[in-house]
Amino acid sequence: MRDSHTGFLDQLEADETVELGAIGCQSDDLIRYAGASGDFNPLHWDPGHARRSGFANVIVHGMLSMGVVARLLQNCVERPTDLVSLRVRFRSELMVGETATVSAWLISRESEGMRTKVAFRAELLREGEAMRPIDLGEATFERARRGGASY
Amino acid sequence: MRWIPGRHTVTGVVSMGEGIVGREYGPVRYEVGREKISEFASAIGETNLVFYSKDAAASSGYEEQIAPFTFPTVVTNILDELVRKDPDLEIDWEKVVDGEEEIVYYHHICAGDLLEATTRITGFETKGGLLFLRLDTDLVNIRDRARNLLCTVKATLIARVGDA
Repeated sequence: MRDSHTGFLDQLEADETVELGAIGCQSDDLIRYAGASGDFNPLHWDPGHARRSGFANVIVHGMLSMGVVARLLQNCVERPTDLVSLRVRFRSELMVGETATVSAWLISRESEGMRTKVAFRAELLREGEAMRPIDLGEATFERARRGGASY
Repeated sequence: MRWIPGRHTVTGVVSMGEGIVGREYGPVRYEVGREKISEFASAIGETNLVFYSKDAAASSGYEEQIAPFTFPTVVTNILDELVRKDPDLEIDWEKVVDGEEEIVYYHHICAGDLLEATTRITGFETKGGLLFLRLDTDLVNIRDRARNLLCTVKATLIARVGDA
């Protein structure tokens, strides 16, 4: 499925929004990420602590959601290192067990297609609520020039 | 892995923010290991083999196993510990949440890189009962005696202040 997105940057039309995938984490995913990243904030693994802080359950690390978004964006190009910058605004928390959908659309194509900017959003539909944005942001891809510097 | 105290000496009564912007933490050194890259890649659900093996990376034209895009967070989390230990910041860290994060690359990170990282406070301001703390971290590769800036991480942390 994901392979169908490879090269999508060249095909993406203005006004077109493409669904890239999803962010969804279970408890073991959060514990694995805590260990791998070194972020041991108990909001992400201790349900009691999370409840005392006003959340219904443990919440997904903002940086884990960004890591998944970066992975989904890198999956859209042949060379993952063509993704050179990514900015994320963390708008709302994602609870363990919830699934947010990630979609992207074109902002601009510059330098004869060598640089492409896209915007993305990760959003979640909770029962009885309006669509809730989790992460919003922009990404820049730069195609490595043959024989030039490689990113 | 040692905190070099900031050059800024706090004397007498200071208001929040004075002498805070410009403060630096680090440098810390971090050697990028193959297994750590694989562990991190697995934790974000990565399946592309260029993040798991040198051979796979080579067949895609990379010299080395490459690190996932958000791998710098492994290093900034070490530096964040130093920031949190700074008593002058007077922040209740339990009330701090991630507001924004930006990573800008100049060259990708790969296995064997020896990183030197320094965090500096670039913003410290209160607006409507919220404190916005901005931290910039540069990751420099000091392997082979060169000093190449690989990426900059810009984080905005938000804390509730007072009774808010």
